[in-house]
Amino acid sequence: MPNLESSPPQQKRRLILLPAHNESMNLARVLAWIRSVLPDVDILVVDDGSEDDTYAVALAEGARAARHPINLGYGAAVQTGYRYALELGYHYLAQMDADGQHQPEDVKQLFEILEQDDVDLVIGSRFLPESGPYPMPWLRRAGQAYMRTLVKLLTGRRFADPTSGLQAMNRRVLWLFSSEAFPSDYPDADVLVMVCKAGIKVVQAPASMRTREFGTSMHAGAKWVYYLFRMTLSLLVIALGRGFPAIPAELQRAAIDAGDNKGLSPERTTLP
Amino acid sequence: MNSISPRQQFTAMAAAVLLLVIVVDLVRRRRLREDYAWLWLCIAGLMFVFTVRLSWLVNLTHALGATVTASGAYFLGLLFLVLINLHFSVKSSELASRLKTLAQHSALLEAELNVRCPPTTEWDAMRTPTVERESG
Repeated sequence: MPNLESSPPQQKRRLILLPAHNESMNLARVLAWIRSVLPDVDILVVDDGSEDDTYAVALAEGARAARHPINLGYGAAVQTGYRYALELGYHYLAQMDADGQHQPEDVKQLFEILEQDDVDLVIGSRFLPESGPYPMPWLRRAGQAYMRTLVKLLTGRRFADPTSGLQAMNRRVLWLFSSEAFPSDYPDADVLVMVCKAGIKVVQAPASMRTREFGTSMHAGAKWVYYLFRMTLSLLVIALGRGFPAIPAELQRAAIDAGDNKGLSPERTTLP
Repeated sequence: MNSISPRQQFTAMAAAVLLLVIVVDLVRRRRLREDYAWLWLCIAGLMFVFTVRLSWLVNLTHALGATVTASGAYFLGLLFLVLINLHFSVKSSELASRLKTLAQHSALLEAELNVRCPPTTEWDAMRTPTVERESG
């Protein structure tokens, strides 16, 4: 795929990914908000087979848009964005929800951490001491605690918000997430375990989250129970074996630390 | 009770032959792919062998720890159904994975097309997929 960038060539190319399913009511406002905070960043909306005008709204608002012909699930939608960024040579990608719950100011901060602190993946967390208040029903709070415990057991690290959809990453992570090992429904705690086992450098940053104005969450109702079951199974599978491809030598941290930065250059990366 | 009547034996044999004929016919008419047909052909073949060589089924039944031959046959039938369901689950997972990759590829191509040639209303109408969307 050719390089179709719009960012200045001297700057590291950044992309904001918005996976969206039936978000036409929220999308225009969210896109305008992002542009007001991050005017020089490209935005890609991945419409995951919406029945409403999500795709048309994204195009009308001047965002880049990719549309799944059928609904594939949240994981597949973000993965389409990862593959897009990898193929079109973006250095960094940040993903946020298209429903207006995540704030572009937090995305800006994640990009800054990614660029300055030599990390691979930054996770915006709603539950760090510096994060704003985020009301959550007790059942989901218990589910979060369960996920945190499982991830702690499997990785030895405490992730305050293991189900956060607000993340920023570099090309090493984009490569790993573009592989078939990436789950197509709920990429959350299992992906955290995967990145830790793959030697990805992950940090957490505080983020605030607002309540959505229109539509319903993908974790609404009984789906949350299925989610817990599905995530437990997925975590066990990852704990039992690798379950994901080995990162190529030129993309591994050792090569970068040794001074070979070519691995993270868009020209050198091939899809998994 | 380790023996079956000639009538029962004939019925089982006829069922095995009928299954064999149906499977071969489905493959011949391209309504069943060869990679799915082999499992059905195996089961039809096994059914036929066990009805002709009844002593083999009796020995197998005893080896499984059952005393009545019919129990052995039912157990084998059940085992087959479980295995074939598992086989279909694996195939369906493979297909879902391929479908995902295909749909993502289509989305990426369309995104590239949008950059090269921005869509007009007419264009967009032409590009709208005609497949029926799943409800829910």
